[in-house]
Amino acid sequence: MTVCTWPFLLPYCLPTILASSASASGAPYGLPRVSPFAAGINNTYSWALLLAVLVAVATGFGRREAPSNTAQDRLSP
Amino acid sequence: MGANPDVLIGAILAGATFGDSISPISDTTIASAGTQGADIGGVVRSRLKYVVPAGLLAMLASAALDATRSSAAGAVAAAIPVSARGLPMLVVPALVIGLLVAQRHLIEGLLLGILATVVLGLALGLIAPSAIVHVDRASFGAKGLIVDGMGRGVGASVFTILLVGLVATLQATGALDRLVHWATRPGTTARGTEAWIVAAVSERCCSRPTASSPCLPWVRWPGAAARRPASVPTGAPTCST
Repeated sequence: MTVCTWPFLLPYCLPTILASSASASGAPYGLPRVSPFAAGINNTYSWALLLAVLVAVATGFGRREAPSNTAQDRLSP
Repeated sequence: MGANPDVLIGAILAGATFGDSISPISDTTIASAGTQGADIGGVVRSRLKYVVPAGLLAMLASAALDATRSSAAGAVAAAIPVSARGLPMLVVPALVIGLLVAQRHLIEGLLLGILATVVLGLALGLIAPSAIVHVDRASFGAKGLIVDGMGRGVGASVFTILLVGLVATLQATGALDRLVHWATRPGTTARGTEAWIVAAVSERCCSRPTASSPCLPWVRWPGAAARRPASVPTGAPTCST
Protein backbone atom coordinates (compact mmCIF):
# COMPACT_ATOMS: atom_id res chain seq x y z
CA MET A 1 0.00 0.00 0.00
CA THR A 2 2.99 2.28 0.48
CA VAL A 3 3.24 2.49 -3.26
CA CYS A 4 -0.07 4.35 -3.30
CA THR A 5 1.31 7.14 -1.15
CA TRP A 6 4.57 8.78 -2.24
CA PRO A 7 4.07 8.75 -6.05
CA PHE A 8 0.73 10.49 -5.52
CA LEU A 9 2.17 13.08 -3.13
CA LEU A 10 5.56 14.10 -4.49
CA PRO A 11 5.47 16.91 -7.08
CA TYR A 12 8.01 15.23 -9.38
CA CYS A 13 6.04 12.02 -9.82
CA LEU A 14 3.81 11.27 -12.79
CA PRO A 15 0.42 11.15 -11.00
CA THR A 16 0.78 14.68 -9.62
CA ILE A 17 2.21 15.98 -12.90
CA LEU A 18 -0.65 14.44 -14.88
CA ALA A 19 -3.20 15.87 -12.43
CA SER A 20 -1.62 19.29 -12.92
CA SER A 21 -1.70 18.80 -16.68
CA ALA A 22 -5.38 17.86 -16.54
CA SER A 23 -6.18 21.08 -14.69
CA ALA A 24 -4.87 23.05 -17.68
CA SER A 25 -8.12 22.24 -19.50
CA GLY A 26 -9.85 24.82 -17.30
CA ALA A 27 -7.83 27.68 -18.81
CA PRO A 28 -10.52 28.63 -21.39
CA TYR A 29 -12.87 29.25 -18.47
CA GLY A 30 -10.42 31.41 -16.55
CA LEU A 31 -9.44 28.73 -14.07
CA PRO A 32 -5.83 28.66 -12.88
CA ARG A 33 -3.58 25.67 -13.52
CA VAL A 34 -2.99 23.70 -10.33
CA SER A 35 0.67 22.93 -9.65
CA PRO A 36 1.88 19.35 -9.09
CA PHE A 37 2.84 20.38 -5.56
CA ALA A 38 -0.69 21.63 -4.82
CA ALA A 39 -2.22 18.49 -6.33
CA GLY A 40 -0.06 16.28 -4.12
CA ILE A 41 -0.43 18.28 -0.92
CA ASN A 42 -4.24 18.22 -1.33
CA ASN A 43 -4.38 14.48 -2.06
CA THR A 44 -5.96 13.68 1.28
CA TYR A 45 -6.33 9.97 0.57
CA SER A 46 -2.61 9.32 0.15
CA TRP A 47 -1.88 11.18 3.37
CA ALA A 48 -4.54 9.15 5.17
CA LEU A 49 -3.22 5.90 3.69
CA LEU A 50 0.32 6.78 4.72
CA LEU A 51 -0.98 7.34 8.24
CA ALA A 52 -2.82 4.00 8.11
CA VAL A 53 0.34 2.18 7.00
CA LEU A 54 2.44 3.71 9.76
CA VAL A 55 -0.21 2.96 12.39
CA ALA A 56 -0.55 -0.63 11.11
CA VAL A 57 3.21 -1.20 11.28
CA ALA A 58 3.47 0.34 14.73
CA THR A 59 0.46 -1.37 16.30
CA GLY A 60 0.24 -4.58 14.28
CA PHE A 61 -3.35 -3.80 13.26
CA GLY A 62 -4.54 -6.42 10.80
CA ARG A 63 -1.37 -8.50 11.09
CA ARG A 64 -1.82 -12.24 10.87
CA GLU A 65 1.04 -14.25 12.28
CA ALA A 66 2.11 -17.35 10.40
CA PRO A 67 2.60 -20.59 12.36
CA SER A 68 5.62 -20.16 14.58
CA ASN A 69 7.62 -23.01 13.11
CA THR A 70 7.45 -21.65 9.59
CA ALA A 71 7.42 -17.92 9.17
CA GLN A 72 9.43 -17.04 12.25
CA ASP A 73 12.08 -19.61 11.41
CA ARG A 74 12.35 -18.35 7.88
CA LEU A 75 12.56 -14.76 9.04
CA SER A 76 15.56 -15.57 11.20
CA PRO A 77 18.95 -15.02 9.58
CA MET B 1 -19.48 23.90 -8.28
CA GLY B 2 -17.56 26.69 -6.59
CA ALA B 3 -14.87 24.40 -5.23
CA ASN B 4 -11.34 25.57 -4.63
CA PRO B 5 -9.30 24.36 -7.66
CA ASP B 6 -6.38 23.07 -5.57
CA VAL B 7 -8.67 21.11 -3.27
CA LEU B 8 -10.77 19.88 -6.19
CA ILE B 9 -7.77 18.50 -8.12
CA GLY B 10 -6.44 17.02 -4.89
CA ALA B 11 -9.78 15.32 -4.27
CA ILE B 12 -9.88 13.95 -7.82
CA LEU B 13 -6.35 12.61 -7.40
CA ALA B 14 -7.36 11.17 -4.03
CA GLY B 15 -10.24 9.31 -5.67
CA ALA B 16 -7.93 7.95 -8.36
CA THR B 17 -5.46 6.84 -5.70
CA PHE B 18 -8.22 5.12 -3.75
CA GLY B 19 -9.20 3.18 -6.86
CA ASP B 20 -5.60 2.33 -7.60
CA SER B 21 -5.08 0.93 -4.12
CA ILE B 22 -8.17 -1.27 -4.01
CA SER B 23 -9.16 -2.15 -7.56
CA PRO B 24 -8.51 -5.75 -8.60
CA ILE B 25 -7.40 -4.52 -12.03
CA SER B 26 -4.94 -1.88 -10.83
CA ASP B 27 -1.23 -2.34 -11.46
CA THR B 28 -0.34 -2.15 -7.78
CA THR B 29 -2.83 -4.88 -6.84
CA ILE B 30 -1.77 -7.15 -9.68
CA ALA B 31 1.93 -6.60 -8.97
CA SER B 32 1.44 -7.28 -5.26
CA ALA B 33 -0.46 -10.49 -5.89
CA GLY B 34 1.70 -11.69 -8.78
CA THR B 35 5.06 -11.18 -7.13
CA GLN B 36 4.04 -12.76 -3.84
CA GLY B 37 2.13 -15.70 -5.21
CA ALA B 38 -1.12 -14.49 -3.64
CA ASP B 39 -4.53 -14.39 -5.25
CA ILE B 40 -5.79 -10.97 -6.32
CA GLY B 41 -9.04 -11.33 -4.38
CA GLY B 42 -7.09 -12.05 -1.21
CA VAL B 43 -4.92 -8.98 -1.70
CA VAL B 44 -7.99 -6.79 -2.19
CA ARG B 45 -9.68 -8.24 0.91
CA SER B 46 -6.54 -7.81 3.00
CA ARG B 47 -6.36 -4.14 2.06
CA LEU B 48 -9.97 -3.27 2.88
CA LYS B 49 -9.37 -2.82 6.59
CA TYR B 50 -6.78 -0.11 5.85
CA VAL B 51 -8.14 1.43 2.67
CA VAL B 52 -11.76 2.02 3.70
CA PRO B 53 -10.97 3.98 6.89
CA ALA B 54 -8.35 5.97 4.97
CA GLY B 55 -10.92 6.73 2.26
CA LEU B 56 -13.50 7.92 4.78
CA LEU B 57 -10.92 10.06 6.53
CA ALA B 58 -9.84 11.52 3.17
CA MET B 59 -13.44 12.43 2.27
CA LEU B 60 -13.87 14.30 5.53
CA ALA B 61 -10.49 15.99 5.16
CA SER B 62 -11.21 17.14 1.58
CA ALA B 63 -14.58 18.55 2.63
CA ALA B 64 -12.96 20.34 5.56
CA LEU B 65 -10.18 21.72 3.36
CA ASP B 66 -12.66 23.11 0.85
CA ALA B 67 -14.80 24.63 3.57
CA THR B 68 -11.84 26.54 4.95
CA ARG B 69 -10.63 27.96 1.61
CA SER B 70 -12.44 30.63 -0.31
CA SER B 71 -11.58 30.98 -3.98
CA ALA B 72 -12.27 33.53 -6.65
CA ALA B 73 -11.51 30.86 -9.25
CA GLY B 74 -14.17 28.69 -7.67
CA ALA B 75 -16.71 31.47 -8.12
CA VAL B 76 -15.73 31.70 -11.80
CA ALA B 77 -16.24 27.97 -12.20
CA ALA B 78 -19.61 28.21 -10.48
CA ALA B 79 -20.71 30.71 -13.11
CA ILE B 80 -19.87 28.37 -16.01
CA PRO B 81 -23.06 26.87 -17.47
CA VAL B 82 -23.13 23.10 -17.07
CA SER B 83 -25.11 20.44 -18.86
CA ALA B 84 -25.78 16.74 -18.43
CA ARG B 85 -25.44 16.14 -22.17
CA GLY B 86 -21.88 14.94 -21.71
CA LEU B 87 -22.71 12.19 -19.23
CA PRO B 88 -23.11 9.46 -21.90
CA MET B 89 -19.42 9.97 -22.66
CA LEU B 90 -18.70 8.01 -19.45
CA VAL B 91 -19.35 4.95 -21.60
CA VAL B 92 -15.93 5.47 -23.20
CA PRO B 93 -13.72 4.91 -20.13
CA ALA B 94 -15.97 1.98 -19.23
CA LEU B 95 -15.31 0.58 -22.71
CA VAL B 96 -11.55 0.98 -22.37
CA ILE B 97 -11.54 -0.66 -18.93
CA GLY B 98 -13.68 -3.48 -20.30
CA LEU B 99 -11.22 -4.06 -23.14
CA LEU B 100 -8.30 -4.15 -20.72
CA VAL B 101 -10.13 -6.57 -18.44
CA ALA B 102 -10.70 -8.72 -21.53
CA GLN B 103 -6.89 -8.66 -21.89
CA ARG B 104 -6.84 -6.62 -25.08
CA HIS B 105 -3.64 -4.66 -25.68
CA LEU B 106 -3.39 -1.21 -24.09
CA ILE B 107 -2.69 0.48 -27.44
CA GLU B 108 -5.73 -1.22 -28.95
CA GLY B 109 -7.88 -0.15 -26.01
CA LEU B 110 -6.74 3.48 -26.19
CA LEU B 111 -7.19 3.71 -29.96
CA LEU B 112 -10.67 2.24 -29.72
CA GLY B 113 -11.37 4.67 -26.89
CA ILE B 114 -10.44 7.63 -29.10
CA LEU B 115 -12.58 6.26 -31.91
CA ALA B 116 -15.54 5.72 -29.57
CA THR B 117 -15.13 9.25 -28.19
CA VAL B 118 -15.21 10.76 -31.67
CA VAL B 119 -18.22 8.73 -32.80
CA LEU B 120 -20.20 9.34 -29.62
CA GLY B 121 -19.24 13.02 -29.46
CA LEU B 122 -20.34 13.58 -33.04
CA ALA B 123 -23.57 11.62 -32.55
CA LEU B 124 -24.49 13.65 -29.47
CA GLY B 125 -23.50 16.91 -31.12
CA LEU B 126 -20.89 17.63 -28.45
CA ILE B 127 -18.05 18.20 -30.91
CA ALA B 128 -17.96 19.53 -34.45
CA PRO B 129 -16.30 17.43 -37.18
CA SER B 130 -13.89 20.21 -38.03
CA ALA B 131 -12.75 20.44 -34.41
CA ILE B 132 -11.44 16.87 -34.33
CA VAL B 133 -8.48 17.31 -36.64
CA HIS B 134 -7.77 19.58 -39.57
CA VAL B 135 -4.88 21.11 -41.49
CA ASP B 136 -4.11 24.68 -40.53
CA ARG B 137 -3.28 26.50 -43.76
CA ALA B 138 -1.25 29.21 -42.08
CA SER B 139 1.18 26.85 -40.35
CA PHE B 140 0.54 23.89 -42.68
CA GLY B 141 0.28 21.66 -39.64
CA ALA B 142 -2.29 19.42 -38.05
CA LYS B 143 -4.61 21.06 -35.54
CA GLY B 144 -7.60 19.90 -33.55
CA LEU B 145 -8.73 18.26 -30.37
CA ILE B 146 -6.68 15.09 -30.73
CA VAL B 147 -3.49 16.93 -31.62
CA ASP B 148 -4.01 19.39 -28.77
CA GLY B 149 -4.61 16.53 -26.35
CA MET B 150 -1.44 14.77 -27.42
CA GLY B 151 0.43 18.06 -27.12
CA ARG B 152 -0.49 18.31 -23.45
CA GLY B 153 1.29 15.01 -22.85
CA VAL B 154 4.55 16.04 -24.52
CA GLY B 155 5.90 17.86 -21.48
CA ALA B 156 5.27 14.93 -19.13
CA SER B 157 6.72 12.49 -21.68
CA VAL B 158 9.95 14.47 -22.11
CA PHE B 159 10.17 14.84 -18.33
CA THR B 160 9.80 11.07 -17.93
CA ILE B 161 12.50 10.30 -20.49
CA LEU B 162 14.94 12.68 -18.84
CA LEU B 163 14.12 11.31 -15.41
CA VAL B 164 14.74 7.74 -16.53
CA GLY B 165 18.10 8.90 -17.86
CA LEU B 166 18.91 10.42 -14.48
CA VAL B 167 17.94 7.22 -12.67
CA ALA B 168 20.06 5.16 -15.08
CA THR B 169 23.03 7.38 -14.26
CA LEU B 170 22.46 6.85 -10.55
CA GLN B 171 22.24 3.11 -11.09
CA ALA B 172 25.51 3.12 -13.01
CA THR B 173 27.28 4.53 -9.98
CA GLY B 174 26.15 1.54 -7.93
CA ALA B 175 24.66 3.78 -5.26
CA LEU B 176 21.17 2.37 -5.69
CA ASP B 177 22.46 -1.22 -5.62
CA ARG B 178 24.20 -0.62 -2.32
CA LEU B 179 21.12 1.05 -0.91
CA VAL B 180 18.88 -1.79 -2.09
CA HIS B 181 21.25 -4.41 -0.67
CA TRP B 182 21.16 -2.62 2.64
CA ALA B 183 17.39 -2.26 2.55
CA THR B 184 16.68 -5.92 1.75
CA ARG B 185 18.43 -7.42 4.72
CA PRO B 186 16.09 -9.79 6.55
CA GLY B 187 14.17 -8.69 9.59
CA THR B 188 13.89 -10.61 12.82
CA THR B 189 10.36 -9.64 13.80
CA ALA B 190 7.13 -9.08 11.89
CA ARG B 191 7.06 -5.41 12.87
CA GLY B 192 10.68 -4.91 11.95
CA THR B 193 10.18 -6.60 8.57
CA GLU B 194 7.13 -4.48 7.83
CA ALA B 195 9.01 -1.32 8.76
CA TRP B 196 11.85 -2.31 6.42
CA ILE B 197 9.39 -2.99 3.63
CA VAL B 198 7.74 0.40 4.06
CA ALA B 199 11.14 2.09 4.11
CA ALA B 200 12.41 0.17 1.07
CA VAL B 201 9.29 0.85 -0.99
CA SER B 202 9.37 4.50 0.04
CA GLU B 203 12.97 4.74 -1.10
CA ARG B 204 12.08 3.16 -4.45
CA CYS B 205 9.12 5.47 -4.90
CA CYS B 206 11.18 8.56 -4.17
CA SER B 207 14.23 7.59 -6.21
CA ARG B 208 12.39 6.04 -9.18
CA PRO B 209 9.43 8.37 -9.51
CA THR B 210 8.40 7.22 -12.97
CA ALA B 211 7.46 3.79 -11.71
CA SER B 212 3.77 3.68 -11.03
CA SER B 213 3.99 0.50 -9.01
CA PRO B 214 7.42 0.09 -7.50
CA CYS B 215 7.72 -2.99 -5.36
CA LEU B 216 10.60 -4.43 -3.48
CA PRO B 217 13.69 -4.36 -5.68
CA TRP B 218 14.06 -8.07 -6.32
CA VAL B 219 10.68 -8.28 -7.99
CA ARG B 220 11.28 -5.38 -10.37
CA TRP B 221 14.48 -6.33 -12.10
CA PRO B 222 15.23 -8.97 -14.74
CA GLY B 223 16.14 -12.22 -13.08
CA ALA B 224 14.07 -11.13 -10.16
CA ALA B 225 13.42 -14.58 -8.77
CA ALA B 226 17.11 -15.34 -8.53
CA ARG B 227 17.77 -12.12 -6.64
CA ARG B 228 15.06 -12.59 -4.08
CA PRO B 229 16.69 -13.29 -0.70
CA ALA B 230 15.92 -16.84 0.38
CA SER B 231 15.38 -15.64 3.91
CA VAL B 232 12.29 -13.71 2.94
CA PRO B 233 9.27 -16.02 3.06
CA THR B 234 6.80 -16.02 0.22
CA GLY B 235 3.95 -15.25 2.57
CA ALA B 236 5.68 -12.35 4.30
CA PRO B 237 4.07 -8.97 3.87
CA THR B 238 5.70 -7.15 1.00
CA CYS B 239 4.12 -5.02 -1.66
CA SER B 240 0.66 -5.05 -0.17
CA THR B 241 2.10 -3.48 2.95
